[in-house]
Amino acid sequence: MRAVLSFSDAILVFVGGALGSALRYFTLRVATRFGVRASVALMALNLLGCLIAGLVVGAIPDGGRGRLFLIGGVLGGYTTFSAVSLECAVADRSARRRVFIETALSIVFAAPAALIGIALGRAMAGGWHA
Amino acid sequence: MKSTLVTFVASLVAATPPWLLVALGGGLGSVARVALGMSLGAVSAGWMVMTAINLFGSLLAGMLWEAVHRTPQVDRGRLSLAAFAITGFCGGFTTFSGFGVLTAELGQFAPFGMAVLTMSLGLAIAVGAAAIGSLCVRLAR
Repeated sequence: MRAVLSFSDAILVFVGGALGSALRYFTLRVATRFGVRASVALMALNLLGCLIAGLVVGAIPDGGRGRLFLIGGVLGGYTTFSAVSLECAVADRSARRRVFIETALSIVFAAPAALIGIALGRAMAGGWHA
Repeated sequence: MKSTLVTFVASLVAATPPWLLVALGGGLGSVARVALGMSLGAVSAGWMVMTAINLFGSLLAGMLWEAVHRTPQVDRGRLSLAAFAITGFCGGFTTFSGFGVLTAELGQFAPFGMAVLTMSLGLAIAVGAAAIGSLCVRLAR
């Protein structure tokens, strides 16, 4: 594996990451407007991102530009770890317990969500190629 | 001259919608993550790099949040900075999908304890890193 990111690949990741991050911003805006708590929306968004990332990993072989754009860019930008950590840090005393439970659930279900995605992705790729 | 430039940049930033600041920061953060992942990934395991990135990104987010919000007045410029640097850069730099996929791969291909270790580190970072970052800034004041 190459150890240096080429300029054209960096552009690809930049565009993907910008798209994913803007999509995350809008997802959270819309969810909170409909009365969903930000920390709950963040959990749903992150787990959905894990599922789709698993799907991509299962369906597209490693090393290509498509996968770099989707995994490194779009999904990496869409999902976030720092916002989860920030929710915990800024939660006021009354919300602390609830936010901790949501965070723990996110962490515990991240890998299973990715595994389901990987299995689905493999099945889809197998179906397409067979 | 310098103040003219600063005023110009400040008004430019103030006129930029938050989603665009988030997109620009997120693009930069994503490039930084992938570039670090490639260069450090050559000498250490992927899950270690991912954990370190999430740790530093969350610490930085906590520090920036403290710097932006715990002030007498939170003005437009500070909110723009938060959109670019916290929601954008830190959000794009850290990754939850990478955490899920790498933990899943450890669970499949490595001793199961490795997946448990990554998860425990992930939980510790999620619960504590931003809090430690903001505490550092508070103590430094």
